[in-house]
Amino acid sequence: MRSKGPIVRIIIFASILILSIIIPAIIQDPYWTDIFIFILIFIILSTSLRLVINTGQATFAHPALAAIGGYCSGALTVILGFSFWEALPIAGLAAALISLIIGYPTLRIKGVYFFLITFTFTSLVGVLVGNFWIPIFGGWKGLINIPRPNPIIIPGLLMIKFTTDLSYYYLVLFLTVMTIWVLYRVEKSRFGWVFRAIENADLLAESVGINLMKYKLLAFVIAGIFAGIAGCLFAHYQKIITPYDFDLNFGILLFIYTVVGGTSTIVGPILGVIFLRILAHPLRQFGIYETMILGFILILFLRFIPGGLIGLLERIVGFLETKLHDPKTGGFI
Amino acid sequence: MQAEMEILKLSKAFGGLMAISEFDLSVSHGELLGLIGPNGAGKTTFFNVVSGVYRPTKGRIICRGKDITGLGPDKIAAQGIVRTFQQTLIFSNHTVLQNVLVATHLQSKLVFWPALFNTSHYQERERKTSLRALELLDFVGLVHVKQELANNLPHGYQRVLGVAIALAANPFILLLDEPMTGMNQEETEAMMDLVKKINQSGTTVLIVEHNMKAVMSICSRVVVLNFGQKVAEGSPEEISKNEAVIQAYLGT
Repeated sequence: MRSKGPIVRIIIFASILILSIIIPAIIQDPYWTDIFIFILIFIILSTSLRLVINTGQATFAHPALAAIGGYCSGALTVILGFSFWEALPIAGLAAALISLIIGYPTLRIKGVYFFLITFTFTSLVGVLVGNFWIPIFGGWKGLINIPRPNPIIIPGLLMIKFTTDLSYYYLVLFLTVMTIWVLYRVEKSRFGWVFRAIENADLLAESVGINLMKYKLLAFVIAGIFAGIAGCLFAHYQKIITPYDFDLNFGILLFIYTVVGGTSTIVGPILGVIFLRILAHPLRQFGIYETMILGFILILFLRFIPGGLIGLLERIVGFLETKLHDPKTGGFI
Repeated sequence: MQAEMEILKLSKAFGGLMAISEFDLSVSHGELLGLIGPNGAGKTTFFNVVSGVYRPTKGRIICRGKDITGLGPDKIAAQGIVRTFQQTLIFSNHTVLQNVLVATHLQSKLVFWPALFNTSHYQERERKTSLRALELLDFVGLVHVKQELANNLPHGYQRVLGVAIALAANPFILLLDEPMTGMNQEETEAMMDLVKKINQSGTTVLIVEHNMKAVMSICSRVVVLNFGQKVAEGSPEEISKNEAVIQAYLGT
């Protein structure tokens, strides 16, 4: 359907990357740097959430997995004195392990029942870290004094510090690009087709020898790693993590971003996050009505633009292309 | 000829209803076996049991000397028994070629890390898999629409694609569940030719079909089911003269 060649795609991708490197450095405004960091963290979460949605499993476990990543890395650095660089991969692996444990018994359940189970899981994790192991997790007040990453030092060559928000932004940007690259590669390989095939017709997929459980679990665990990493980045940015950070509200927001952006391609959730996070700031003046307005936007999109922002964009591009290529309407290409 | 698949006293009950009872069947290598019977006779249930969608209540299924009773659908497909579906079931959001490629899963194992890094070894294997898929599309006559979205194909092509997907799993027994449903005369004839061609290429075929003329002309042997039990078995000529069969279809 998309006629854009690989070169055009690489140019678009490179220019977006360059813009995301340059813009925060030009603006140099802590307020906007904060917005950008959250946009990136949400992009890691929403693109990995989409991977699970693409296997036909609408999961609400992502906030819990992010919380597990954040708390794991927070506790490792604060209490056991690990460095950020050791804690980051461990946070991802811890979230992946938990994904494996909860995914195995629940992924054979489909549709709204799976959603409800994972919904319960997310509320459960919040309650657990709030009420138990208080010496470690700090109860409802949260785990405090989480350090920023220690500097990368190559003696005599370079030293990168992560004390400023802007430098932390670049670290998060690097990991976001890695995330998108991995998820893009997975999607473009036969794995991606198998995931989509399972969503499309699981009965048929199974009849040609595809082990549904194995592939659903694979998608769930890969997404879990990135959710854990996102949670870890969140905790080390805020320097504190509380049970309120990854509550049900957070999960609903994440879902709205992903669905409004559209799940047909990986660009969808990215667009959704950028659009709604930036829109969220003028909306903030409405106070408690902010969520209501977002909910209204979600309903609007589900009803009138089911493909999300990306679907809308593709339709516009498609329309323009046919207009421009059609000699009858005086096309000039 | 040696028996490729043995069905021994197979029964399937749904609550108190016996959908299949004490059904025996021996399928020999390379045959084209028709399975007919009135609506509700248990033909599709039989396919669902053999392909692992349902577990049999009683009885055993032996395939090439191996007991495959109660295995899941993906395990049974891996044993070389693949079925198509009565309803038109395809991966509608994929292209025709992708439909077949997804279904080559059993022949061409997916390994994660090479796929992620797009290694030359991975590319080479994907290329070989694509070539095989194209050959298969050529075999069923869909190669000219290989880049088309499956959802946009006409009904007749979608049914053919359903068969191609099953073939991509490289079965030695193919179970076809009403492949000619909703087809016009021309499409039906094309499908008959395709089924014969598949059979001649060495695949054993079991076909459930309501189109009597088609079944009688392509099958070498026909089994008649009624109320979950075998009513008759024999060559098409014998079946068309059989009293019990005529009774089953026309009632008494």
